[in-house]
Amino acid sequence: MPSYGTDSTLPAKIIIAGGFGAGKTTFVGAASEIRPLRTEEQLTAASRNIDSLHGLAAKSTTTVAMDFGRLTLPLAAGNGLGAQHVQLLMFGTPGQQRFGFMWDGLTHRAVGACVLVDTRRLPDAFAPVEYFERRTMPFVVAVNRFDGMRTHDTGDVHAALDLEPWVPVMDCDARERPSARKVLIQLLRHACDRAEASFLTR
Amino acid sequence: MDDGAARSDEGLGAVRPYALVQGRVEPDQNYGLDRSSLVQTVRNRPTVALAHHYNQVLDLCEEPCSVAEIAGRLRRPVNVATIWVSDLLAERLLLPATTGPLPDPDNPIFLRQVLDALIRY
Ligand SMILES: Nc1nc2c(ncn2[C@@H]2O[C@H](COP(=O)(O)OP(=O)(O)OP(=O)(O)O)[C@@H](O)[C@H]2O)c(=O)[nH]1
Ligand SMILES: [Mg+2]
Repeated sequence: MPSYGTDSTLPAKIIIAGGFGAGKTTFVGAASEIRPLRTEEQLTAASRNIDSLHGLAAKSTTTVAMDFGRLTLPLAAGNGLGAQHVQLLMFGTPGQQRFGFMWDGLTHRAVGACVLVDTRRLPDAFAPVEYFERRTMPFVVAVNRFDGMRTHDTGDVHAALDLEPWVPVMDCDARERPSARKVLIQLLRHACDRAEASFLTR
Repeated sequence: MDDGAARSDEGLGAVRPYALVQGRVEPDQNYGLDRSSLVQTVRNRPTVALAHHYNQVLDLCEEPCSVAEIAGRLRRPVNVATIWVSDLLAERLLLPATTGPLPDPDNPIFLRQVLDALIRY
């Protein structure tokens, strides 16, 4: 494929997940440099129930609406990647959908995920947390502070969600750009630490 | 369509103005595209007659733009945007905005560079 050859931009996919009303859309809007968009995705997966008569896997399809936002950042010169920019592509998942194997296409090749938590509905975070744990995808938990909420100790949230010790939990206000950016930095730091550690032991 | 050009298979202009994707559910050529693929309109974009939606895509992609963003802005499902992008890549009106290899998402050099870029921001 011909291309410019001079300027290259890398995509970096980030998933913003969490329970219903946890602040996912708000977060994408705060972190994005563009007005957040809605994208319609058709998720298809071969059903696990194999049709025993025909030996065919039935296919099931659902359409979901995702939030989309992006952030373009210049990369340092001489970065060894042959690229000048990176575009963080943030995909906010819909809250009412069940997280499951249908999501694999969407989360494929993501650098990591943020799981937003509303402490009034902490159990809503179990499904996304379990999903990213199973896929060994780096993720951070961001506790969204809604007005008038008693602040929970992030340690309590860590324990209540039964997270692995290395999973970062932090406070955020999804409406505030600096706060959303801090969550992204924490996610990248975590993903980076994990990748460097596993690189050394390979 | 009784326009002779419409039966030729050259170019998008006269060939495909009458249907958004002609009932296709898959692009003719995939180019390894997914929702995160970044594309950009060629410089010195030739003035060819194109169906409206192709021009909309080219207008959006003056700067590197993902398939997902094209879909969101044009309010079309991602699979439709993927087909349009594939058509325009085939015509060399769009080019990939990522020219080198895509780093794996767990490539430590890549992640470190993205982290540093975010911190500097
Ligand atoms: N006080 C406060 N309100 C917030 C915060 N984040 C989000 N909200 C509000 O909470 C409501 C839900 O936020 P959304 O961003 O729509 O949540 P969501 O996770 O996208 O919701 P669904 O997509 O419906 O699951 C909205 O009215 C937001 O304005 C926050 O940090 N503090
Ligand atoms: Mg939402």
